[in-house]
Amino acid sequence: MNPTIIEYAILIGFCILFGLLGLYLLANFKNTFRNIIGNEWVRRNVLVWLITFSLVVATTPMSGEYFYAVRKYGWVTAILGQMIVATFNTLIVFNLAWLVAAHPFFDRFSFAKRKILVLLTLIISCVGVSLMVKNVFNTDNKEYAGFSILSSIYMATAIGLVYILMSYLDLERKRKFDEKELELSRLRELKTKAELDALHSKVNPHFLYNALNSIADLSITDGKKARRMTVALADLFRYSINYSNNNFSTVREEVEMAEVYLQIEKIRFEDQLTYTIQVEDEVTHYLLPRFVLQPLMENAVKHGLKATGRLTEISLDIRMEQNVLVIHISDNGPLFPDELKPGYGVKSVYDKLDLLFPDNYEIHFSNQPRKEVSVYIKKLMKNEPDI
Amino acid sequence: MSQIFRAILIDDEPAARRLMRNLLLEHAGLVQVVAEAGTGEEAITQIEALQPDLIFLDIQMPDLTGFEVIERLNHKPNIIFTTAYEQYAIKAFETFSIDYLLKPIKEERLEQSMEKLKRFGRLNTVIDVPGLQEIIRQIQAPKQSTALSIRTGDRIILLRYEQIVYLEAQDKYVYIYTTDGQKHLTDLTLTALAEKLPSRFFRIQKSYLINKERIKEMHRHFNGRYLFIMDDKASSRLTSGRTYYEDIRAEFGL
Repeated sequence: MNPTIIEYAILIGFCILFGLLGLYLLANFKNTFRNIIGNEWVRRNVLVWLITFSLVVATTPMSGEYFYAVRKYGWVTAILGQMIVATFNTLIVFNLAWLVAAHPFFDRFSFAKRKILVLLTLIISCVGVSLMVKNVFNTDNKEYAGFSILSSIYMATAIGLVYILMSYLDLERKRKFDEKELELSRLRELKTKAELDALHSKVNPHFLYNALNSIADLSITDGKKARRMTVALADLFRYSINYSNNNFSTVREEVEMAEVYLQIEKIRFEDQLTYTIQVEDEVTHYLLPRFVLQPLMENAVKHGLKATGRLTEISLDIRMEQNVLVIHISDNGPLFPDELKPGYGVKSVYDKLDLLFPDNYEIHFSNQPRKEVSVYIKKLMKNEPDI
Repeated sequence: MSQIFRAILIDDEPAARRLMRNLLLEHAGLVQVVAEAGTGEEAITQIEALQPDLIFLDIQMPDLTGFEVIERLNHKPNIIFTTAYEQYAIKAFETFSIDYLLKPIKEERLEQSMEKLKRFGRLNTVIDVPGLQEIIRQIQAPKQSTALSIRTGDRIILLRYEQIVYLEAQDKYVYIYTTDGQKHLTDLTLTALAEKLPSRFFRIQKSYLINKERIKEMHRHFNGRYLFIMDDKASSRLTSGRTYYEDIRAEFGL
């Protein structure tokens, strides 16, 4: 007896629903059940079983064999049969294919060879499973075995080709992503270089103009001072301009330039300013970012002069404490406020240290026991003697 | 009738004052220097005491800026600014000062200033004070803050905004997590911090404020929540609050 139109319609609707479920699970393969099933193998097998069963059910209307089974054994047995087929396919076909696709043993093969291997595994295991199922459950009609094998090969090939296409697209996407990443890191490197270039070339230009204005006076009122200041300015600017692509400088050079800078300020402010510099001998060969001290000294001078009506005292002290280079810069100006707003100079110090000693430095501002800025630098490098 | 402007020189550098004094000797018939001041405070005292007709005013002085000096004056004289900073040499000056001179000072330029003074300068000038204050306010627009200062014991540490990944409220305190994987404690509340920090810091939950520029990934989560994976060493994972759903969608254009 053939089913009625309505029965067909119900069956087809039902099958389409299953088909959608199977496709949905397939699309969300990576994340479904992630929170419910902890074991990855169990999770994948459960999912594959559900997907296989759904798709087998979905393709029911296309398979005459199924109706034959229904007529012969009844609905329940037929569905049970589908479940058994799904179970075998999952346990054997999927796991074998997965093994070939993911096991590190097969990493030695090229992409193409490996994918072909997966395809062959799929075909052979599918045929195997199909023969086995036929032998166990369908012993009476051997004449369809040939068709059964052919359809297994067809199904396995189709699935395998889809899988290969997906992996290829995935590979392409990853490759493009990696290329982008590579390009980005190259850009980042260039940016670092450019940033440092920009940071180097900036001794506060207003400092230069003010100093030149002072020289304009000193050249008439005090020739000796004018001469000293001109020479000091030349040293400072030579140091800032001719850095010959070297981002680093030794502690010694940095201290020398800090002192040149302080000398200029001392002449500008006519002994309203004094300074002391103390540097341990053993630290002078360590490398610092070029022009990291001068902005801090400039800051100290600016702060120190704020307290008017008394001598401004600046001190620079560099030493080694437990493999950390410690730089203290103090002034006797008003205390640091709780809300510090770093100016261009201080920001450039942070930037230079960020680029050359990332995560290996700290800067503290303290008011007790004395008002000072402290820079701590770890993982120091020493200057090679021949450079 | 020739007028003589009684002038005070204000500059933190003695040499700069001396230079100006010497250059002005050429214009002794127009300007007579009656005093000098080396700090902003000193300048205010001198100006109020001597009531000069003209001041030569440096803008950057350690204790006060030239603008702050003007703001605090009762007696408003004619002003010629002297500065090394071109960015201040804007037309705003034309509205309330006679002129500005860029350092190093050129004699020819000073002569021009003296011409201007002859033409526009008045003895006992009256200045448009509210207008002046408005201009000063514009010029002194607060420096954009770029970092958060955190006090720990006797020390102050600057956490630059780009370095901060997110802030987390715990009890009365707030932890600030930085890109290098450190966390810093502050006793400010998250609400106070949210007001203080720029708009790149965004609230995604009652106790989380994140740096939008430090988000690596954003995922849909259950129940109208979002999962944020941050761009720090630990790739911190933060879940947004359900009540912030609409805000987050609006903020990120979802």
